[in-house]
Amino acid sequence: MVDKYNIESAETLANQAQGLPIAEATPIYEQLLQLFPTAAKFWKQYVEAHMAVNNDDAIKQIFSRCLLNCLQVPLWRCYIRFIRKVNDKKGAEGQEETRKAFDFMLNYVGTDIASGPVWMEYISFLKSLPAGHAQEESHRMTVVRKVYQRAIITPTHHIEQLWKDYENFENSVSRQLAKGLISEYQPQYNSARAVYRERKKYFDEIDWNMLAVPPTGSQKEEMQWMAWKRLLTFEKGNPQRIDTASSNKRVIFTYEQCLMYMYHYPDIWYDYATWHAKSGSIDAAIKVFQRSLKALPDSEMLRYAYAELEESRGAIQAAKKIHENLLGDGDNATALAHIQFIRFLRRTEGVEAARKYFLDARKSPTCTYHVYVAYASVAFCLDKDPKMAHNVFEAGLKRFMHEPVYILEYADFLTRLNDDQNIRALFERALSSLPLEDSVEVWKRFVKFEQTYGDLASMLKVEQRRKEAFGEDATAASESSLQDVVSRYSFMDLWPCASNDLDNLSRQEWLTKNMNKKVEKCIMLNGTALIDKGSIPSISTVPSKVVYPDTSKMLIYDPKHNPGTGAVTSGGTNAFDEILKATPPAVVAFLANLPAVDGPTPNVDIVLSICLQSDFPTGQSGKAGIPSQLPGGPAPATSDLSGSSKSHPVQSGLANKPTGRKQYGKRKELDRQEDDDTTTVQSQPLPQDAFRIRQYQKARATSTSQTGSVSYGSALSGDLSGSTG
Amino acid sequence: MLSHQLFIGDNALNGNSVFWCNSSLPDLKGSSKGFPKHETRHLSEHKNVARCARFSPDGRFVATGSADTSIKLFEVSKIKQMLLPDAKDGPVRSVVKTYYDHIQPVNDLDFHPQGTILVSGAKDQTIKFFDVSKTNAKRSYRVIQDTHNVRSVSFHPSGDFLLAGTDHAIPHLYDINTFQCYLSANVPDNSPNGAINQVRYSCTGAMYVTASKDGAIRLWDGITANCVRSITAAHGTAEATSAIFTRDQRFVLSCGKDSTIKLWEAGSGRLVKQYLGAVHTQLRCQAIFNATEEFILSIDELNNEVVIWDAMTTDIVAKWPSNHVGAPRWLEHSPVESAFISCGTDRSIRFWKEV
Repeated sequence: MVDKYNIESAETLANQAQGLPIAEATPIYEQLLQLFPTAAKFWKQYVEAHMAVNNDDAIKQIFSRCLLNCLQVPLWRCYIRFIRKVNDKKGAEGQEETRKAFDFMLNYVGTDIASGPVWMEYISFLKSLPAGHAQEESHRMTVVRKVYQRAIITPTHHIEQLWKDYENFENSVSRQLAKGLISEYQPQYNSARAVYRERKKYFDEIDWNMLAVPPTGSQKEEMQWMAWKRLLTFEKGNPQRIDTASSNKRVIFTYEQCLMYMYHYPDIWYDYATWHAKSGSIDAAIKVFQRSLKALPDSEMLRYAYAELEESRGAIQAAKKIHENLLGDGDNATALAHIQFIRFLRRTEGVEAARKYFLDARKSPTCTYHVYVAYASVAFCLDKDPKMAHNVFEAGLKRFMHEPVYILEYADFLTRLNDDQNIRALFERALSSLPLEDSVEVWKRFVKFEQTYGDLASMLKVEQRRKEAFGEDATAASESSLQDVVSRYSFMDLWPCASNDLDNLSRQEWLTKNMNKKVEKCIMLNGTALIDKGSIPSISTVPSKVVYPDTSKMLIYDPKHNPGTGAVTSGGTNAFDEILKATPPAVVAFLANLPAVDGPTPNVDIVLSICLQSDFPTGQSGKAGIPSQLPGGPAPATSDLSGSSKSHPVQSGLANKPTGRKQYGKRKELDRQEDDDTTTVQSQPLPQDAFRIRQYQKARATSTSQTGSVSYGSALSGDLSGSTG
Repeated sequence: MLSHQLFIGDNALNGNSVFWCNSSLPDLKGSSKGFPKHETRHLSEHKNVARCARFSPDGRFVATGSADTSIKLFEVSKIKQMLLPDAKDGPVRSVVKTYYDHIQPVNDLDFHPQGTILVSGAKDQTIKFFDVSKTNAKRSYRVIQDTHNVRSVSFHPSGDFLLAGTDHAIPHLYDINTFQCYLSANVPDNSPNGAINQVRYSCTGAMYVTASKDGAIRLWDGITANCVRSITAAHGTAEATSAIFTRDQRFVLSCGKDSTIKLWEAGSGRLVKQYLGAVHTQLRCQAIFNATEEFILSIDELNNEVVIWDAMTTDIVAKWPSNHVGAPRWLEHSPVESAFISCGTDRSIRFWKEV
């Protein structure tokens, strides 16, 4: 079968239908909607085609089929348009009909984020109703007010507009009353508007144009699934803190909308049903399950979930019906369906019913050994009837002698009876008839059985027999390997050796096997090596062989000393922020960790110079980041800071630089001030090299003219304590 | 991908270039593949010439930079949603964010290979870092002040280093954790007009390539930063405007204002292919690969067209009107799918997607 849920062909088909006369288009639409029963856009197109020719009966019929499953605002607006048209000329009675239709509609899609226009339309419809005398007039007013008050607490795209309209409305009715009413509703409106903003984000994630197709695992589907899940969680959290009933209504609405798009996702159906069940409305949950079975008739999971719900609320007959449905007409029932039905009957109707059904099921062509095992365990564990269980196994053995798994299950059962005579007989019988390739597990279990039940002689004998059976050459078989001893003398997770002993043993065994084929061995070794490498999961997307620059082979270049066009002069923002941005991350991290200091601010320059003088332990790594950012020039020779050695290349880099010496940025100025301080406070020798001296002198000359401005150091400490404190 | 397809059955170490040179053999050459049809859509508008674009490595985001100093960030999934015929409740906004932080035109952009960081190089001599994951950040959170007009930026595949191609003839290598800037210790010939138009790392970081105004393509060692090969006059005396590596790092594709696009073997510096037939003499034209490296895309300024070559046969397989007013300045292809972006001198951004 070709992909019947092909979206593209569906869209083309829909486009074709649009151009055809209604009689020809109808079968196309029916076919489309058969496949996509929740595709509101197709329904809308279909119904509009009928509306174009005023085919009222057909329209009504179509609406009755789609409206409740497709909670989509455009489709529903189409409906209201139709209703209004039909009732247009019917006077009061028609108006009443229309009003009811509006109510009905808002009841279903009134919580949609796009329902704003519908609310507005309803309100203007209500306002347009004729009112004869004062009493009618005031009644109409009350109705309009009520609708407004519902609309302004619904988080829709048009909530702000609606609020404004409402304010105007109240003011037009009575200025005195308006104030009280508006201030009463303002908080509710505010919270609805806040929720709207939040809600919109979730709605924006959703592709409203998607057609419901069975999951194929594409990324887009997964994204949509997640988007829906997020929206559902959001709505379930009752973000607006409204009463439970209204909140539940929104959740139901969201689930319904979700199922329009995630129609083929059993998990959504299940979640929806369980949510209903949890919030107390079992009947609603049952209805969801029934609908889910219509949507996904092949989903056994949903059927079992449904049956479970029915059974747990005591509706045994209903549950039984579901189980019987799962069995179909009996001939094509799966073994699992038989088993689950047996267990269900045993739970609900007792020993006799289960037994009876088992006897029937035995005759079914689809009855496998599983059914026997299942019933035997029911008889043994629930009915406490070992004799019956034994009989079942024995009866099954005739049929399933060739199934090693059945043999093992039977052996297990007998083990529980402690019936070692029969177990031994069973193994012997099975091994004599089973083909060699199926008997591996049975042999294993036999050996294990003898290890538990037998004496040393029988243990060794069975092991020997197993080896012979598998044709391991006589010499190897006769030499019992050390590994056999290990397997005999280990218990649960306790081992008579260390794990590398085991590695060695298996390695040695492998070597023995390959001793004679050296060439092959090499190839295999390489092969395994490759596989090993490949199996290491790569943690990130970095290509495995990234080559890193070796910066020690490069020159350090310090472009920071260029006149700052960006950092300082890009006005508008706080200069401190800009400085912080241009500071290396390591320094920023360090600054962020500094405590906030209330009280006197220490002179940063003095602190720095003291730091520079101190003899820190050499263990400090150059990577700390701070040292390398210290001004390079005056670093004293006594300092062990690895950064100080790093800072010399900065200067060589600078010397190469042709431009940018005439002006200095703030950063540079700090450096200079520091130079001043360190020299005065610590009386350090003047820099040795000519370049530094020149810079130093220049600094002297300019610093006097610039000290009037806030120095970098104090600006930094001031702002920092402000921001962290 | 490219070389893989080109060298099927050719395991000889040096046989590759022989194969390239023998392209006169018609039976080896084969016929050109067809480039799939694309649809194009106007995406957004800058307030001045749109100058550059870059996709994130996972193809989820694309950013564009403009002479109006702004950077726009788009989410590709939203762009695609926008292209759908009828989106609910009006058009989807594909622009996630617009950053106004530079004070002069933006020249180039790059995404961090793993993180959510976008960097931009601009004429204002700065490199700015934007955290794409922060929804309300409108400005950079980190700035590198360079000494020159930053014309091109390229992240090292580890994301720990960043190369900047500037008006300076030597690429600037930044350690982005310390902001320390490194230069090659020995630069061969200091060209007077060596401003770098583009710098790009190879995918392992073992090499990087620069295209400069003096028309040279230079290959640099990723470890020592030494210039290992200088293809002088790769585009004659005309500017070399773009240079990129193939994914296997064996070839470099360059584009120049001499209206040629050339494919070079990185190991030998030998010219292996030329893609001719498009005129680009004015703008900093880009020659790019599609996601599979089977095709090469560039601009014809004269006819205002996007021109597509079969990378293997060098035949022009398609010429499409650019739909921009005036020839677009930049092309950038998604690394993961059949979609690309064109940035126009008419200020607009267009998105192209296979139909």
